Amino acid sequence: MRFKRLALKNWRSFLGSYEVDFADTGDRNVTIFVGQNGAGKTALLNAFTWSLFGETTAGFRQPDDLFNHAALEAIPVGESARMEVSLEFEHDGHHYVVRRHQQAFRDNAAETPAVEPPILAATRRRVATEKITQHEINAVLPPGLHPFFFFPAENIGKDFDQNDAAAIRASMSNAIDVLLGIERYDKALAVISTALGKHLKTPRGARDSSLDGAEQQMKSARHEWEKKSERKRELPSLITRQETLAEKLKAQLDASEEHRKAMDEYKRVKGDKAAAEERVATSKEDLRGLANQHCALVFGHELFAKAEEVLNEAHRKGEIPPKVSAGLLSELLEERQQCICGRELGEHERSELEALRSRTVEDFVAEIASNLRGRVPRFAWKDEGRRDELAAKLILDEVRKGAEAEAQFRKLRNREMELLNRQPELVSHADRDETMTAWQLAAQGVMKLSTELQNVSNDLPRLKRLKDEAERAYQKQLTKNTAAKTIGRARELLANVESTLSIIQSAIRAAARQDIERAMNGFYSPLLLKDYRISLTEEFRYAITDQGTGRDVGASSSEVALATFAFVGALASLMPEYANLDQLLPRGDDKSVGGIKADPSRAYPVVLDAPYSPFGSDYSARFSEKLPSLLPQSVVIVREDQLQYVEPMLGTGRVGSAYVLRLHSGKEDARRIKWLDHEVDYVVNTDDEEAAHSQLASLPLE
Amino acid sequence: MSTSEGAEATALDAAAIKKLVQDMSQQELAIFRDVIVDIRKLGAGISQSAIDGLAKKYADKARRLAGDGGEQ
Repeated sequence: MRFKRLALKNWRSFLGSYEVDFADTGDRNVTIFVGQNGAGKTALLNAFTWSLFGETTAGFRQPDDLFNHAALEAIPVGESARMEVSLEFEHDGHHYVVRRHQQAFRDNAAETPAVEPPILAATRRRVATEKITQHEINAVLPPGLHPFFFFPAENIGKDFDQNDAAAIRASMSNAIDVLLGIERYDKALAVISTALGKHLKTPRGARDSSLDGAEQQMKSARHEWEKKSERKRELPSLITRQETLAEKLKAQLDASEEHRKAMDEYKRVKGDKAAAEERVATSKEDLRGLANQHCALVFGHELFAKAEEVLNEAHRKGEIPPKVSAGLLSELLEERQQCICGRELGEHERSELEALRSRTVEDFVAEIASNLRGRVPRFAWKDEGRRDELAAKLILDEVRKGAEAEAQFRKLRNREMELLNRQPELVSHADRDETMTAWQLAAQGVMKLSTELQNVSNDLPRLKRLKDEAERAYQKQLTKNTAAKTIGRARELLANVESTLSIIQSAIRAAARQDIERAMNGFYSPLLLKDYRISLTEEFRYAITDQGTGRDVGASSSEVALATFAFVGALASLMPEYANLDQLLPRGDDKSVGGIKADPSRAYPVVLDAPYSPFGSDYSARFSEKLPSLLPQSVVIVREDQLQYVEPMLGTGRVGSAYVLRLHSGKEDARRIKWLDHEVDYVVNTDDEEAAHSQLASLPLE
Repeated sequence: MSTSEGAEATALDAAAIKKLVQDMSQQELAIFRDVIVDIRKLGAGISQSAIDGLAKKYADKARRLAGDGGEQ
């Protein structure tokens, strides 16, 4: 199967008519769509499923509201308009055109036009063109498989209630049944079981205590076996749901743990910041003390120099005395001159100088101290006294300590701000203890259900044996009785058919499991950055094993998401092989179930909506690198923030066509994106009165 | 048990199936084939009422094949 062209007319957010040609050659086999949220990415994905099956993907909002609103509103009274999606593809030598449309007609101006039910018009052509029905389309791609081939990856990891991926994982077993048509055995078994349970009872005239007892035992044994068989069928999806819930709660718990750590750090940082602030204050105080202690040296020199300068200047100008008090200057010159000679000051001198310094620099100690680095050495050099050097050293040390305390304080203050800024998202988490309890319950639930599944699986052969024995005993009693003999033989016939059907169904499933596991690993290994391998359980649940240690591992969310993609790839590549099987029964060769090797070169195309959302950057890059060689045709729908991941595919020439889903809206600012070396309109700001809609425009490839 | 561990069992299943089908009586084989064909015709979305209808049909058929040739 290869997609050739998709045509949209008034489909959901797309106003008007658009055509898309898909890349489908070996070298250029990837088609890219870029669009922001709300521009119609999911609508595009659903254009495939709606045209092919008249269905939309789970989680597609308002699935009955498909006709573009602007187009609908623009229909004049008495006239009609059409919404249409048409998909052209090639398959098995035929060219298919599958067109589905809805017609809308406006009766009057007051009411919204009435939209008629969808109509399918499909053809296929090899030599001559023939009309086909839904049946022929389903034969190409069974409708039960569309969630895999049109894959809304964006939802992986989200709330399981709205999560296609969880449903997908839960329905893997069902998908295999659909793929192989195994479900027909389920239905056939239901027919036989109903025939045995409802229509082949003991005839009224033949009743006796032995027969009644045997019938009762048969009914009881059959009921028990059917109940447990049903439970075994439903348990895998229950476990998956419980696991998804546990994963979600664990993620919340981790976030809550992150929050707790952040809060602890915040408290610590706050305390440390207060301490650092205290150290800064202390250092300033110490500096002030040092400055005070040594002010005779420092400021004496300073004042002397300044006074000398003022005097010299005043002298040159003939302004002696200048505005500066001559008495003060004399005093400074006479008394403070001695300061620079290293002589220890007397008590009076010290207090006087301190008083002077206080008046002068009381409020500028820190500023002056910060400049001391430059001054003090000069002073120390000039002074040459040991005391001066000691003072210089002490002051410099204090300056350094102050600077360090200041830097530490700033660092802690910034960290505190960071933590505070994160609070809105951190504090939004539910109570941690409640989350912990819920997670423990969910985890216990998983273990309980898994244990139950194991027990049910182990018990079913015994229950089947008991059922068969009770059936045979009942048949024996029936055939002993002339009036019930035929019923006994009829039951024997149907019971044998039931047994054969059941064995065949199990054998086909087991064989298909081998094919799927092999194919999944064929996709999984190239995508992984680790040496992991997938093992499928009997119920088609997968475990991931580290090949190095041989142990099952709790893979990261990226690796689990990749396992789901591996399943998608496995289905896509097995599909052509399974569709052409001569018969369903495993024969132990490479042409029957169990021996089929997936051929990726013949794989069906896959449409991936936001495939990068579940991955980290490493796996996103890896995915882009490998995808073009893993699948012969893929369609990738991305947001603008994921463009970086498709760039390598563009760079290596693997992208054969690309389109932008251009949003026209009056409520959004105009935006452009960078595509290769081009600036491309991405959001177009329109007149407010025009309804928001999207247009499809092709993007250059060079 | 993963499939790699179960490969041998599957091979045995294949042989067992062949023998099972060979060992079926003509009457059983007739019911086996017909019920599969009927299900295939009705498709995967077969309804419960259709299953009930087929159950009646095959109960009657089994009775006929077993020898009484009609309804009880």
